[in-house]
Parts: sequence; structure tokens; C-alpha cells
Amino acid sequence: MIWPALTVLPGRILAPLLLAGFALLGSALNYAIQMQEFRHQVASDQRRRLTEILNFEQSRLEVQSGLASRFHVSRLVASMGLHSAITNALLVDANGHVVGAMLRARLHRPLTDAIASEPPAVRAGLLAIASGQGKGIEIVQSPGDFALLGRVAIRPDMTLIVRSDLGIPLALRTAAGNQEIRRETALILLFAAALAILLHVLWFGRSARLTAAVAAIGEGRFDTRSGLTGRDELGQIGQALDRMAADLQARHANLEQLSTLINRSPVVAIEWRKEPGLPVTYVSDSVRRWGYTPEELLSGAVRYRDLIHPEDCARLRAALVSHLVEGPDDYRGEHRVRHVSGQWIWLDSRTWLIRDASGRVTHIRSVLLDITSLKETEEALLRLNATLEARVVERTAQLEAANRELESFSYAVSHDLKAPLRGIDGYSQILLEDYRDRLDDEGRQFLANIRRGVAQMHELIEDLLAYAHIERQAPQPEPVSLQQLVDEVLDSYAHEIAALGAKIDVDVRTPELPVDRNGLALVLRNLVGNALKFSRNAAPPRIGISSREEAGTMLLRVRDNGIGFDMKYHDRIFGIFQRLHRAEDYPGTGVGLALVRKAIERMGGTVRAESEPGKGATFLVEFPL
Amino acid sequence: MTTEAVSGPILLVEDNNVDLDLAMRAFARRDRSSPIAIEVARDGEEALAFLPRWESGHPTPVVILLDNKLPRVSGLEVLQTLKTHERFRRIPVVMLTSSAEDEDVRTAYDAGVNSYIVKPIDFGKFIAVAEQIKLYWCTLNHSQR
Repeated sequence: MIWPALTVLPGRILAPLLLAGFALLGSALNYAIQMQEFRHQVASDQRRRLTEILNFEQSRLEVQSGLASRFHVSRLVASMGLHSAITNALLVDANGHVVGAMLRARLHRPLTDAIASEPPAVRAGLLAIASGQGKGIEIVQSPGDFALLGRVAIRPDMTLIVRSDLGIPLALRTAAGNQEIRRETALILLFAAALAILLHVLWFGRSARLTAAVAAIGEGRFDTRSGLTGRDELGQIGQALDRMAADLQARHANLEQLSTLINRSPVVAIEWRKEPGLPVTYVSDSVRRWGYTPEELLSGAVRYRDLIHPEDCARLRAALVSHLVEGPDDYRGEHRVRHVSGQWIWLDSRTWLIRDASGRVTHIRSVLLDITSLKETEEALLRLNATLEARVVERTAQLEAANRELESFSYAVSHDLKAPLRGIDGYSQILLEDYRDRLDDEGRQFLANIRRGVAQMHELIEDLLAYAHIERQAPQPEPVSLQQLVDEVLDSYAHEIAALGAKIDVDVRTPELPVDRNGLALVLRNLVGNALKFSRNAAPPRIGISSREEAGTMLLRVRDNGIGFDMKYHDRIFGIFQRLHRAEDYPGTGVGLALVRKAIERMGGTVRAESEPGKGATFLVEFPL
Repeated sequence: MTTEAVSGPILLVEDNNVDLDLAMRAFARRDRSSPIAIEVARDGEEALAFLPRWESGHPTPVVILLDNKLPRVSGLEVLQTLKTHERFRRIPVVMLTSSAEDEDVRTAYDAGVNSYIVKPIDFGKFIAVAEQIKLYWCTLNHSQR
């Protein structure tokens, strides 16, 4: 087949070859046509000429034959040989004998014999023309060779037959025409060559550039450009190719940046084909961090599953199977792989499954982040935590021991400090009662002072114990009616209130609230007690107790019209044993407000006061419900 | 005040000299004509030493007044021994102590104490307490013999 051969050769060679072939073919055709034309021309020229010769010879022979001079006739016929191209001239009489010929040897012999020595084609032609019957001049083309045969009747009894060879005139004509043909052939070839050059410039040179550019881009040299311009097909293809190459180059650069990013990141990206053995189909260059090359993993020389820590293997496989069967296709886990040095690397793996159009899993992809240092920190933290917990337990035990010690201390205080007081008070009273007669007024006053001192000390001890008690007691919230609690506290001061003629305004309408009853009672007792104590000189003392509940907070307010205090002592009054007045003026232990603050703080609340000297004081208690 | 139906003494367990003296005086204060018999144990061991004597016929007390904080054997231990004793567990025991601690009160009642009284500092109140004890435990209350 010629077709494959045509596709094997590049167009830039094939086209000139075809052009050359066509040029040669054209030249040959031209030559053949010219030759045919020459033959035709020669045949027609010779026919005309032969007709003229035969006309002339007929008249000449008719005149001469009348003279009956055979010899003369014979010479006339022989003289026809002077005409170029006439090879045979034979005058045949009615008997078929040759009476005139160009060769003497043929005279007086029958025609057949006379021409026996001629080549068969000539002989057959002569015999055929001789057998004609026409009276005029008859010229025919020799059927056997390139010659003309002519016959003319000379008087009724004789016929002249002539053969004119066309070969010589043709050769002469050809000789003259060949130069012309060569010129034409040269012109055709020249034209073909010019066409080939033009084609090369317009088409094949550019297509070769296009081909080279496509090949280079195909090999990955995305910076190659065809550089073709123009609005023809090649130009447009070339420009499209250049745009495509630029796009590819940009994408490739982007891809390289991404790949560099992955390789520089602490992440290893890896892909497995889902088939037995899980061959690795991609792994980022960053796997070199683990001491392996991507090629080792891709070729299977190093198998990923052999790198996995034996303790993690089963878990990892189970996770994969579970996600393959039940999904989801995206999951996360942790496992260890062996560094080439033998150390274990902790990895945070994010894995997702790749499915084909039919939903079958074809690939498994993971990004693996080295979290070894994180894990080490975590473990260190856990260890630290464990020791911390142990330390907390130890400290708690120490604190509890200290607390127990404090408890036993306060127990001792309650028991042992109070015991001597009983003795002092008891014997003082016995003295006062049983020995009254033997004491003068001053002695009795001393004993009364002793007993007052005992009472003060007792009060102090009780307050101290209450303070220590509050410390140890966790608040126990229970539904408490504030109204009722306030009433109870006021009842406990009923005697004092009546004695002072104090006016008490209570505005407590809060519903039952979950609070620590003992704590709140202690707070109220102390605040009301304080208000009465410091307003006893007012006329009359006025005490206001109000409450408000808002946004989960309880606000309790106790105000009086007493002596008040300077706000610069605000923080001091809530400190234990802190007093602003002499005990003779306003008796007390200096524990009351410290107790209030402690109790409120135990309930998660705060207490503060607003006052000015001589303008009374307002205590504000705020605690969450 | 007259006392009726008193068929036995009061056992007072007290280690503190002053407290013991004051208690004796408080009980005798308004009762000088017919003073109630008071037996005394100075610590837990002495208190428990009464058990064999009671078994051998010595009259059992109508009430035992027990201090808690005692040398060697504490009042609570004496209480527990008494209240688990087959014969003497029904003798009323009143804890008379200086501690008002919730914990002490709770454990005493858990151990079966019949009453818990905090010793008053004020001697006048102490006399009142002694009067109340005599009235209730020696007169009104009928303990099982």
C-alpha cells in the first residue's frame, strides 16, 4: 500500500517529492502530446506533398506514356526517388507487371516478385494500395508502419503506386521540436520547485516548528513556544498551542510549588491502590524524613505495613476494614511507624477513600503528620499530671491533717479555756453570796468586775469557736423563708429592741429560697445586733431590713441611723478583732463582722458597707442563689 | 424542794477539781436539809470500776453525770461500755461537758446517751442545771430497775 508510506514520510519531504513526480509526469505527458502532434503534422504535410507529387507525376506520365517510350517512362518513375521520403515508386500495367520503378531490377516483373525483397509491412502495404480500383489519387496511411501509400491511375491501363516514409520527416520535425519541449519541461520543473519552496515557507517550515513545539511540550518542556503568527490554520493552531503551553507551564509551576510545600511540610502524603498487598502508588518526597526514598516505597522494596508498630497493626487494619465496609470515607487516627534508624515516629493520619464511578474503592490516600514531639509532651504531661495528682493528694492529706489539728485545737479551746472560767465565775459568785457580809463595797465591786471579765472572755471564746466552725462547715442550702428568718432574729433581740424603743422597718417579700439557713441566720443576727448596738443613742433608733431578688442574686440590706463610720475604715471593719471604738463605749469582741464576711463568702457572696460618720450605716449583702 | 422516790445515789464522773467542787456545791446549794448522795469517779477507769461493785450488790445510781474529756478512758468509752452492758445499759447517763461541738453531741447520742448538757460558765446557771437534773432524773423520771 502506498498510503502508509505516505504517512511515514514527513510532509516537507513528501510534498516536494510528489511535486517533482507531478512535474516529471507533466513533462512526459507534454512530450508525448507534442510527439503525437508532430506525427500528425508530419503525416498531414506529407499527405499534401504526396498529393502534389502524384498530381504532377500523373500529368507528366500521361503525356510521356503516350509516346510509348518505355524507357522514358521508366526514367520518369525512377526520378521520383529525388523526392525525399519517397522510398518506393512503382508503375504497374494492366497485367500486374512493373513497367516503371526506382530500381532497374524490378522492371518487367510481376509486382509481387518485384517487391519481394521489401520488409513484410512495406510489401503488404504496397500490395494493398495496388489492389485499389479508384480513378483519382488515393492516399492512405500504411497500416503496418509509419508511412503513406499513394496510388494514381495513369491512363486506363497503368497504375502508379508510391510509398512515402514518414520516419525521416518526423525525425527532422522532432529534432526541431525537441528544444522547445526541453524548454517547456524546464519551465514545469522550475515552477514545481518554486511551488515546493513556497509550500515549505508557508506551510512545512511552520508545521515543522509546530511539530517540534508539540513534541517538546509533550516531553514536559512547558516553556517551549511555537512562536507562529498569522490567521491561517497553522497560525491559529500555533497560538492555541502557545496559550496551552503557557497554561500548562503555570499549572506545572503551581503543582511544583504545591509539591515543594508538601515536601517541606512535616506531612507525608501517600496513596495506596486498593488491591492485595496495598501497593504504594504515590508518596511525597518528604518520606525521606523517615529515612526512606519514595522509590523504595513505590517499588515495594520497603513495604509500608512492615513499618507500622506491631502494637498498632491490628487496630489500623480493623479501622481500615471498618471504614471500607461501613464508612465514613474520611477518618483520622494515630499510629507509629519505624524510622530507618529504628526509632518510632508517632503519626496523626488523616485517611480518605477514593471511589470510582461505580462506588468501588480504588485508592486509599493519607496525609501523615509527625506528632512524636507532641506525644512526648503529652506523655510528659501525663507523668507530670500523675505526680501532680499524687502531690495534690499528699497536700490535701497535709491540709486535712492541719485542719484536724485546728479542730482539736478549737476543741481544746472550747473545753480547756472555758473550764477555768467556770471556776472563776463560780467561786466569785459563791464569794458574793456566801461571804457578802465579810466584804465591803469595793470588794464586792471587784468581784463583779471579775465576773464581767469572765463573761467577756466567754463571749470571745464562743465567737472564736463560731468563726472556726463556719470555716469547717460547708454551706447546706435548704428552702428558707427570709421573712420568717428575719422574724426569728428580731425575736431574739426583742428585749433589747423594747428597751431601746427602736423602730424596725422590715420589707422582705422574697419567696422561699434555697440558702444555707445557719449561715444566713448568723449574718442577720450579727448585722441586726451591730445596728442596735451602734444606734442605741439615736432617738429613736431606726433599723431597716429589706431584700430584693434579681437575676439569680439575692440582695439584703440592713441600715441603721447610728453613729456610722468613716469609709476609710471600710475594709478594716470586716477584719477579725478589728474595732473602731473602745469596748467600754460599744462592747464587743471584734469578731462579728469578720464572721459575717466569712459566712457570706462561704455562700459565694459578698458584703460591703456604706456609711458616713454620724449618718448611720448600711450593710449590703449580695449572694447568688 | 423535796425529793421523792430517790432510791440511789448520783454518780458524778469528773476529773477537774474545780468543776467537781462546783458541781457538788451546785447540787447541794438549795438542798442543804437532805443532801442527795453523790458518788464520784475521777476518771473513766474509776467509773468502770463501779460495774463489778454494782454486780456484787452495791446500789446502782439513779443517773450518771459523765464528763467527756477524761484521762485514760474517755467519757464516750465509758458510755459505750455501759450502754452495751447487759444489766446496766438502762441506767440513765447525762453527758455534762464543756464541748458544744456538733460531732461530740452526735456521737454521744449515737452511743445511747439519755441527755447532753453543756456546762454553763455562769455559776447561777450551773445551779439551775443541777436543780433541773435533780428534779427530772431523781424525781420525775422512773428508770427501770
